[in-house]
Amino acid sequence: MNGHPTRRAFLAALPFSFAALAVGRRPLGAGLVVLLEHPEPRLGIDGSGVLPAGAVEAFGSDVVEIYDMVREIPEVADGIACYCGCAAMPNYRSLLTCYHQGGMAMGCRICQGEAQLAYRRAQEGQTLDQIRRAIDARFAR
Amino acid sequence: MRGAGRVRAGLGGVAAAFAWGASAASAGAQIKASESASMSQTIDGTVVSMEYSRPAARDRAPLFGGVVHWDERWTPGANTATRFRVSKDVHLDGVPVPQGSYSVWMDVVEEGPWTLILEPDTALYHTQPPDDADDQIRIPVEPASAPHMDALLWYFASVRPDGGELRMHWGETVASVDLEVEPTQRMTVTAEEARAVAGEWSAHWLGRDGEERQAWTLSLARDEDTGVLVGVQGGEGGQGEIYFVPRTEGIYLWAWGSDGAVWEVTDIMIEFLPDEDGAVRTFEARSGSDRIIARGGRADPTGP
Repeated sequence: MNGHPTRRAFLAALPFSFAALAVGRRPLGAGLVVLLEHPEPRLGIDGSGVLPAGAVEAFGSDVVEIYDMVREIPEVADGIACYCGCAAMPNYRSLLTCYHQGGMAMGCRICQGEAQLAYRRAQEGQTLDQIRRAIDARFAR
Repeated sequence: MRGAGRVRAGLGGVAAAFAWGASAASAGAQIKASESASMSQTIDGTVVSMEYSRPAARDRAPLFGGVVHWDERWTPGANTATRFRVSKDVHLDGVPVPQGSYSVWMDVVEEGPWTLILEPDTALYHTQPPDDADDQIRIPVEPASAPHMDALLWYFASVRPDGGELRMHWGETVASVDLEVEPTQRMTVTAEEARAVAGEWSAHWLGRDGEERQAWTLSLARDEDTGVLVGVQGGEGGQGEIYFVPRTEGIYLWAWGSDGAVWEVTDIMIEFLPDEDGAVRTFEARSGSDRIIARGGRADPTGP
């Protein structure tokens, strides 16, 4: 029942740096969680609207890389809602919209985090429903 | 009580003007009998803060019934009235307190509980105690004895995941209230949710290369008393209790706790993966960056 030794033992046992896993890098959300309704991806949607690297390179190579990821999975990104609040903006449709002209993904950690998660899991072969479930668990507030 | 307050309120303007004038005339003079202080405590995303001045006892006695008169409405501080601010709605000893800022007052009496008063008007000097009003929030508080604290101090004597004990301490007297925040996290699971994942599991931590590293076991069950999902970890990969905080169906956050209470929720997600028949026989643990850091399966794959 003693938590501290347990936690230390856990940290010591990890075979890699634990720093990136530490607590509180984002709001943990509510249990109580308010889930957004995910949009259905449009048939034939493509990544041509995603801003090119030259338009976002001022924000760093990490951001350019995330835009590249979204450009590869437009049919997934178009089926995901964004939890950063931009869903309330005019003409917003999906996470993909965040990466179009007028979107806020170049400076938004939530838009970026959702895209990274979606890309990683799409590469792993997860279905859109599985990716949505993980997005909800990770980002819903 | 109110009569004394009104008299002092009349003098308050004079005192305030004098204080302002003195500081304007001698900008270099920074020493105050009651120095400014602040306290801030975050609890589950709710920020609780106090801004106040700290009167010192300086061998004056008694403080209560002397420096502070019985039946006085007093700001527990000095100079400008002590200010209490909460970023979200909270409860103080069960009394709802909406998000916002308040000046803090106490009705100090010789016998029986004192009354903590939260007044919406925060622009009051200590000599301007507010009259009773419907929009004030009142909480009875029992003063208690404590070791000597020369300069008045506001602090949280304890902090829990869902609140803490907010305390005013001056001289040998403390007055405490229990502050409860609005939870942002459901900690408990239903019996049905628990059934899907309860049982014995075996797992490995994974390296960055995806290779299996230390092995560990997990015995997972719902604590019937508290309703939380608790795992007992064993093996070279870790030993002790893990708490599972539900997020969405089949996905939990790894948490630390003790005695049935969660006290730290990490961003490690545990995802139980249903097979085509709906039974859950495997799980993954993912880091905050969504990398798979552990995989596990039923210790008895033929089991539930």
